[in-house]
Amino acid sequence: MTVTGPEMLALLGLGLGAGVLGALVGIGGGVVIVPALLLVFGFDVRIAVAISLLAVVGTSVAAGSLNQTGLANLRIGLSLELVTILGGIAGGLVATAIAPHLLGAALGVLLGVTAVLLLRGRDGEGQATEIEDVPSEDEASQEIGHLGGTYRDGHSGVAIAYEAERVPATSAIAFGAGALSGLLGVGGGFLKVPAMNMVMGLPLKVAAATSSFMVGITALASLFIYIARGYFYPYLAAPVVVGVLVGGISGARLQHRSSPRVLRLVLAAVLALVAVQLLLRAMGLAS
Amino acid sequence: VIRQDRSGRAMAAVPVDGDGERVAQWIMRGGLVVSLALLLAGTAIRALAGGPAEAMRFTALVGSSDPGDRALLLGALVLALTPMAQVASLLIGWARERDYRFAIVAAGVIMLLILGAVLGGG
Repeated sequence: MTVTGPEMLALLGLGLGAGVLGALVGIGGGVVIVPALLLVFGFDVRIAVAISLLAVVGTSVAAGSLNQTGLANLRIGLSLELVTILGGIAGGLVATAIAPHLLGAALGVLLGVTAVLLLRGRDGEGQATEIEDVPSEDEASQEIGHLGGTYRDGHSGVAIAYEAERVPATSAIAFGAGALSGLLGVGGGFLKVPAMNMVMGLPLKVAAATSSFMVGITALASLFIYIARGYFYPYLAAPVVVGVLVGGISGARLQHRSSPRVLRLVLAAVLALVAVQLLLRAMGLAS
Repeated sequence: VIRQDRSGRAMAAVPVDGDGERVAQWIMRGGLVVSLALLLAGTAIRALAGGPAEAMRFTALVGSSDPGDRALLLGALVLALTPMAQVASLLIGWARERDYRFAIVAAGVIMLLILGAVLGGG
């Protein structure tokens, strides 16, 4: 495959945009990168997915490098990631027994409903409560042995404590997100963020930052498979990943300072976009 | 602030920048800087040399004679290994904090990732 100078710049721009969006709402950016590589650049789907998976790892690393704000709860993230990877293995095992288009249509409807619920929802902070004493700005804490923590919101300046609710139900959704990754070739961030916010009761910023941490690990599990099977073109991936690394840092900074309302609206718009993509694919109108 | 869980027991809080998390964050920063530098250098070398993009596996790090391709592959490998190193550092940090429950979770994630890489590579 040959690639021109202007195409390299366009790939860099794609990575920048996907990195900002992916780190801002915790979805990784794959839902933007894969369709763009297919529809705008005309890449083969497997090559596009391999590039996207490395880019999602890049978004996760960029966002993780800025976690001094303590928004990402790594204990919650890894606990859910354990079942997500198991779901990915299960999804791979049953991939031939389930019609992906039917599953995609069902998921599209589910995401559409979730987007509407997000738009109608209040801008509160899940099950979190305001507290008066957190050490200082940009410091946070997490409880040993528990799925909870505290942080100071960069937008309002308010210190917030939270604790995970309904962990089994959220774990089941994370398992499903992992299975869908194997079945449909999509990431799981767009399922994990609403699940952690609406089911687990985490503040939206904590859910998004924790998801950013998780999606890198989820993508990693699939990335090695695509590389081993010969679908990885490093020269094509490089501009996208460079863009994502730079954009991801900006997205993570924006996330800390944004109001929950803005994050909620952006996430709802992304979910609606993914829902339309999945429904079009189910109807055979998109690749 | 002494917070209590639902059963009323006091919960021990640790700052997010405690042991495991602090090392994990530096690993992420290091991985980001090194991979970014390698990807930029590799792209520049490949762009100057010209020629089509080719599919490559990590084994080409040894076999390839093109310095641009080697830099690109090494950059991708460093980036891919960064989250694994991060989880490994969390495992060690949480074990040192005697947070064994989550240390076991981290060990489980690492084992599953290695299993996936082995199965995928096969």
